[in-house]
Amino acid sequence: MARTWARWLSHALLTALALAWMSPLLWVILLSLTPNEALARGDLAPRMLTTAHYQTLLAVSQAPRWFLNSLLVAGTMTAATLVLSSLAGYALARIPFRGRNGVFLFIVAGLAVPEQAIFLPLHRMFAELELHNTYTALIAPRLAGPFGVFLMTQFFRAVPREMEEAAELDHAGRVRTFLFIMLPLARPALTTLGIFTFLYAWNDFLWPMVSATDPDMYTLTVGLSSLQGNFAQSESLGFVMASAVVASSPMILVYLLFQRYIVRGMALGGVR
Amino acid sequence: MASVRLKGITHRYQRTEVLRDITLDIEDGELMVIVGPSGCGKSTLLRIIAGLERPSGGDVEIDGVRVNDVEPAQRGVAMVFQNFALYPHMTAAENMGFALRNLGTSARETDARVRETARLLQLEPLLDRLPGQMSGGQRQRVAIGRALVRNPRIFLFDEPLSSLDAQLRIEMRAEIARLHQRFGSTMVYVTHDQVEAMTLADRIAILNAGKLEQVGAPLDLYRSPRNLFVARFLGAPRMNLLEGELASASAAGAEVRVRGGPVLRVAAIADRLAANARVTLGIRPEHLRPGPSAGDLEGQVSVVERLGDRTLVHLDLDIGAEVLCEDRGESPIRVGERVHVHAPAGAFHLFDESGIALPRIVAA
Ligand SMILES: Nc1ncnc2c1ncn2[C@@H]1O[C@H](COP(=O)(O)OP(=O)(O)OP(=O)(O)O)[C@@H](O)[C@H]1O
Ligand SMILES: [Mg+2]
Repeated sequence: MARTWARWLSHALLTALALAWMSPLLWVILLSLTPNEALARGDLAPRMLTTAHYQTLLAVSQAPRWFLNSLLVAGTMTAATLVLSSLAGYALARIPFRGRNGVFLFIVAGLAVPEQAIFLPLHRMFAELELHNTYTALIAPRLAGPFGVFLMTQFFRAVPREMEEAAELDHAGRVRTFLFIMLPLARPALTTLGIFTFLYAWNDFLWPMVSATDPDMYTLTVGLSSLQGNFAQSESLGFVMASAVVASSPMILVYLLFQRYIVRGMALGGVR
Repeated sequence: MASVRLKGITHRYQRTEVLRDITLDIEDGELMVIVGPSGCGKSTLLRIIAGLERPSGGDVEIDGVRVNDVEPAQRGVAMVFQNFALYPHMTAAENMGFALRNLGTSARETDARVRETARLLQLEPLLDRLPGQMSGGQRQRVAIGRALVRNPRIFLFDEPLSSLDAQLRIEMRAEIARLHQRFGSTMVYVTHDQVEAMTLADRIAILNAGKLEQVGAPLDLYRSPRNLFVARFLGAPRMNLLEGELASASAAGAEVRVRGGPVLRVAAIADRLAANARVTLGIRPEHLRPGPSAGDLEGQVSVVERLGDRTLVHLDLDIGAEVLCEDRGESPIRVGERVHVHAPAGAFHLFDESGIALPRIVAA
């Protein structure tokens, strides 16, 4: 049957491609488990695997603390972004007020401002406020992101007007309409926004690096990169790989759990 | 129960005026159908009654109280939207109970009232389903249920049947009529379907380009349309129109010379018109009977539509006009034949040059 053949072929092709794309990741995991001696010999297919690199990582660094820092920063940032973006988006989409279009345009214009452009003033501002090396400094500058507001405004605009009018006739005030009708409707958009915010926050590097100079306040990305400088590349390959695995594990988890929404989010991003 | 009074309602969106000086009394317990072509302002009028839209001018009164400044929720109205507007993330039961819960009704009482309404509308098997898991007709019933649970003073329906298929429409139409009889509630029902209007209404209000053309009982409007618009809008198939001029007029009736054709006797009082005034003659297809000979008008059959109980015959008249007439179900008429048609004087409607109907003489 030609059709079964075609299916078989396409599956084989997809599997091969998936493996090709996964190979760096698998490679990293393998290296992180390879003993130093094997690495030194250039033996890249060792008999014995070891968790030694992970133990070193725990011993020489504050990795657990950095991990928690990252979790706290990314988690708070995500939660706050969801709350702020949905509230602002709803107001911009549905509550008529003077200057609404202007405010929206102003926010959208923020999408065009590159992060680097505001880097120095931001740094100086936090220095003047003596806020560097605090969680506030790590989290606050990211809360006013225009993307979330833009996304949620567009989403709420697309909700049929009748839905809200029905709620109004059903004696739901503004707050109940928002909480019980609009927010549940926005779940797909919120999930997407949440995932992207979390991943972005987790991977964020430049700002935490300049803001957090105290190792206690490092996020995982900053902390792990600070370690790499201390070890010569050749003899610590396994160690570097182990830290890479630790750094990316939450992201891989998020991807696995929310695949469906991430794909949808990319589609959302595409149509705008 | 409640009455609704619209006093000189005017409405503008930016520059465009969509409603012009609408004055309409809807009595307690009445089923008023507002009908008109697409875009004539029906939904806007309904939304103004509900309070979802503030009129640019005029007053809305419910039970004699001016409610212009009263919030929609406080007006005691329930609305069934054209697209139902069910909350997609809530089950049928939750959709129906939402208003009661917002009013602070206990979960138990809400549940009891939802179930009672569900039984009435035979919705019980659907209560745990989400709107996405229902057919169009089922959603429609849930939407009606959601309106009904709250026991509103006034029901507003905005083309509630327009997205259903023909068969379901007929069933739901009967269902709404039953609900109205059972509860005797005041209902305002918007549609652009004149059959729905004729069958459901206690009274019909015909809206055209933001103006009320005529208000009255369905058969009154059908028998005595006030103008050409109403005459053409009610009745399917539509009334035939023939251009002509007044040949004579007296208290006993008028004679009209059809353009390029014979003089026809019309039971209408046209004294107020000048001699030879231009007029339009209207005749409904069911009153225009075809026959092989001795009719007033003559023409060639272009299309024959056999509906079983009756036959619609399209005729190209020799005078250059096209008319539609009705014959019995077993009509022998064939396409291409020459046919004569005739109508009694009392069946004609007469309109003056500006489309206003002239008074008809009612046979004693
Ligand atoms: N929000 C709005 N802004 C501007 N114009 C509007 C708005 N809503 C409706 N209109 C215009 O007002 C007129 C009346 O609209 P309305 O919805 O009341 O018509 P309708 O009789 O309900 O038509 P339909 O049978 O198609 O539903 C239309 O010409 C429409 O374009
Ligand atoms: Mg409408």
